[in-house]
Amino acid sequence: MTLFGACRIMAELSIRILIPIFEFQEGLFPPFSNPAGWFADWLATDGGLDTMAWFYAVNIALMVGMTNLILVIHLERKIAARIQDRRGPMLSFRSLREVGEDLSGNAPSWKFKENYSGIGILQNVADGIKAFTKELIIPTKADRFLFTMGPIIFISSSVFLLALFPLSDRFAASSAPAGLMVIMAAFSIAPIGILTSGWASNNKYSMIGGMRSAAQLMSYEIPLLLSMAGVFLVAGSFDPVTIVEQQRESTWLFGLPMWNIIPQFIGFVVFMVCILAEVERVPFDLPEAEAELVEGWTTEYSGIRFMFFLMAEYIRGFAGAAVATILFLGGWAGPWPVPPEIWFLIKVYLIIIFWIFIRWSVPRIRTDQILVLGWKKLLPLSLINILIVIFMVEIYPYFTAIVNLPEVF
Amino acid sequence: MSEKSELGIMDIFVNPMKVTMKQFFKSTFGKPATVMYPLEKRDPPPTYRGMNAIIWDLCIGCGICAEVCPNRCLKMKPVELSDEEHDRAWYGSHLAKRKHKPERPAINFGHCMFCGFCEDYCPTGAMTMTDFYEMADTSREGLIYPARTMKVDLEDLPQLPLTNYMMESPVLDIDPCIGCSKCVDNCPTNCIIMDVGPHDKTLKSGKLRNVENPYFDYTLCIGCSVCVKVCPADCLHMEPTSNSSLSGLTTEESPTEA
Amino acid sequence: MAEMWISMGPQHPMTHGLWTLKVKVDGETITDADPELGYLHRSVEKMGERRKYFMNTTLPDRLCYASSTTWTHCYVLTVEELMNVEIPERAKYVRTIMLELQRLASHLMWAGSYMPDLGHITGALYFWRDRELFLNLLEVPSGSRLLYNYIRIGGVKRDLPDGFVEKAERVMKLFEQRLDEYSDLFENSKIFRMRTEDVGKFTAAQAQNLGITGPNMRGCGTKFDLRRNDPYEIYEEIDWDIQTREAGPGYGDCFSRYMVRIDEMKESMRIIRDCFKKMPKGPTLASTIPVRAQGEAFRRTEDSRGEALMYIVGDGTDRPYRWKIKSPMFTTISAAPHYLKGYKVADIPAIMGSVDICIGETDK
Repeated sequence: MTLFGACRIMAELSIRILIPIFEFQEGLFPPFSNPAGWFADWLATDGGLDTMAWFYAVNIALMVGMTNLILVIHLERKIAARIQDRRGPMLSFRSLREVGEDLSGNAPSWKFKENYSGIGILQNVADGIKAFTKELIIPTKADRFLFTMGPIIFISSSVFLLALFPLSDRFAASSAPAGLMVIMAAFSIAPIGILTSGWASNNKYSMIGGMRSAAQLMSYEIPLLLSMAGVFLVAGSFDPVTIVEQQRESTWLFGLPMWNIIPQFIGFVVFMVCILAEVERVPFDLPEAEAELVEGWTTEYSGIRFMFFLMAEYIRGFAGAAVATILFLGGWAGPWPVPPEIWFLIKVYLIIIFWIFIRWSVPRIRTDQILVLGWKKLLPLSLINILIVIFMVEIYPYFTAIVNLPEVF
Repeated sequence: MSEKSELGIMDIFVNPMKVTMKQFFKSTFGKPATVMYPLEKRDPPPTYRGMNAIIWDLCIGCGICAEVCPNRCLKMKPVELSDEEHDRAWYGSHLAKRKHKPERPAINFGHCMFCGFCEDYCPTGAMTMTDFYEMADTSREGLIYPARTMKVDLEDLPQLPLTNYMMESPVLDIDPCIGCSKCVDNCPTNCIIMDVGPHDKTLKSGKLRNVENPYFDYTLCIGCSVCVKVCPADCLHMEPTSNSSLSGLTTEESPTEA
Repeated sequence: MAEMWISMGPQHPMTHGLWTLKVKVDGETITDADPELGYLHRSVEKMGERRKYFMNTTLPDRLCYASSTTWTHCYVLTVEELMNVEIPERAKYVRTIMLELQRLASHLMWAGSYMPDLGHITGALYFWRDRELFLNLLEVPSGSRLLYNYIRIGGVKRDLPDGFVEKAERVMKLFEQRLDEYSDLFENSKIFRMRTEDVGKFTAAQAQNLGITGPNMRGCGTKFDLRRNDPYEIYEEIDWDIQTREAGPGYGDCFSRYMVRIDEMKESMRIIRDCFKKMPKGPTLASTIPVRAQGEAFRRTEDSRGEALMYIVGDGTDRPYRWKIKSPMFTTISAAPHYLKGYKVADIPAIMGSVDICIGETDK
């Protein structure tokens, strides 16, 4: 059963409950309550059922994404702390166990355990509360409309990503035939939001940050799509499910699975560098270089708007890792006893941990250097990758048909 | 110097990640460098310069600490001493004789920079610095510590010799001296006595009278210049000590360490 | 894009203090720069003229809080020359040890604050963690962690306590291991090299003309160190070499300046070890210390950041009549336009960080 199928059943059940309610409302104050009746009629149709099912599916995908978001942020904090010989956030529900123990006297009315032996999950809650309660500042001379639109474009395009990639062939909110193309399109909306908010802030640092984002987009987007082209050639489809099925079926020596990372290693490297630039993590976080541009395009933002940017970046990081998993690491393919969704998440988190390690190990790259890297190194490499794939997919089978070559690929 | 060509494209992350990976495992399975402050505290060395404490019975109220304080955060304030404290005081007998109240240092820690001069220049070793450093307060007034709050009583007092760290002693200009003996009354170590001087002076009544002059016992003098300050006739001034053996600094180990 | 002026500072992550760098940019390229100083002026010289000579040792401590002992030492040397004080032999050794420990702590402070300029937070925390080791060492004899007030006119405040030598050896051994480890994280890291090499270049001749001294000058290959060229304390009797490094013939870049400081840290440890070996027994404070002085004197010393010079005029009282401080960073920051032009905006923190800015001593 797929996720969408499950959602359809849930939708049917809820429609059975909802339709009588709306019909009852229709009879209350006609004609003012007529719309309730129209709504009930619409729910009874196939379109209504599908819409309800979509509603459920998207919400589940969003919840999965947001849970992952919190986990990724927490993981980043803890791993960064360990790399830097620190402890990281230590406060969690466990360490608050002795709350309210001594309520009398001058001593604090709540205290922590002897050692803050939590894992620090409460830090996210505290950050959320802080961001929600802070004042939203709009600079006097800022373009108010665009200043408000910037975060909206950024966060909405990022949350949109969550609905697009499947966790397995059955756990997918959507499975469009052009799925990966839509994901990449959604990915490249965000720089428009960056440019918008950078320009609208009326701040020189923000503007340079926005411009840098545009320049960066130019340099990495082309090798990124070219490196993906190899995978599309092999699978013959843009559909994530088809791509993963192709990887699951093709085998290598001794029946080992041949995921795309093995024949297309160059493409994988190019893709990893480019997707790192796409999700704007160190070493490619030029638009918000805090050393020279203070915080780049987020300089003037505060409160929940700033938090939106941070959240969106982590969502994009998660989505980027998911795309890399689907394209090169065999998606949800894995040995049987572990469910495929878990396999998928394991691979995604391995990539994310690798990124976290890179983020805290290397300095930031310079603007002109990323342009040089994108145009002079990654673009030729991705073209070489395509050549290899063409040889592998088209020319090699042609020769094997004539000459009796061993079946390697 | 390693050449540029040595580093390949993989050194973008391979070399740095070797270090960070190692550190990650080290601090995950070992103890991170963090000191979790309110729960565990690092112990300061014995020489640490924290909050001041006054060994009450050693203090003679000379005011050298206020004199050498670069921030002027230390002021001498009159303090009511009980009879018992008078008895126990090192130079208590001299203090009892004085006409005004004895003075003890009060410190405004809001201005204090913990340079340690008051500790180093204290002639009796009464001013000490503890390793207590958690003195944060919610008001500026709360940072002003009267002498009593810094009082420390020791069982056996280290009776150090009086040392002149100021390297200066008062010198009398005999002519203007009027023999008022204010310097004797105020000297915290009682190193001045009044004796018959070489001059006779004509009083208003026309009589000739011999003026008594102060004589200094430089082995006891600590160079606090209290006598210079109280002198109404400006007949005293400070001059560098000629006799270096007075100074306790010649000893091999610095007396502040004891 | 048209050219525009960007004002970086006085509150900006790049500044490492309180100053303004106005840069004129054409897109991302710097076409002009204009440093503005004076935000942190505390009138140290004038304050010093109101206090007694011995009380003034607390003031140069606060000139550069990252390298306080070296500044106090410069003041004390000048006053000692003014007063003709002979200090005991052991005190000279103790002073040298403290100076080199301070140089280590200061260079580590610099390295730690340089890494976030390049976007490398981990490096900052690593170097600051190691700085703690040396702060702990400096704390033992002096009693304070940042502003030591340890070097006094006529010697030092107190002798090195028991066990100091063993503790210092332990710390230095640990730190040497860590420095070897860090070579992979920094100088063998491709991106670090990309960010620092061929950036912020100036030649040795430029450095001499613009008054850039210290490690920045030795980073251009000039073999000039006041510890050797105008020796004080016991630097003549100790085995050590001037560390130089150049990026190319006669010029230096950010990377060579980084490497010079790393090498100097290793050299400082060599000096400390040699001092421990040769240190005689004896008093650490002169027997007579005058309080009044007449005449004038100046001394220059090798601060962690370059050539520090102090000039003091005494008029016979116990307070200085005039006290003049020459800071190495004032000239280096003033020369900023010369080595900033032509580079990118992203290079500004990389270049300005590499010259080891300290605004406390610059504005005095």
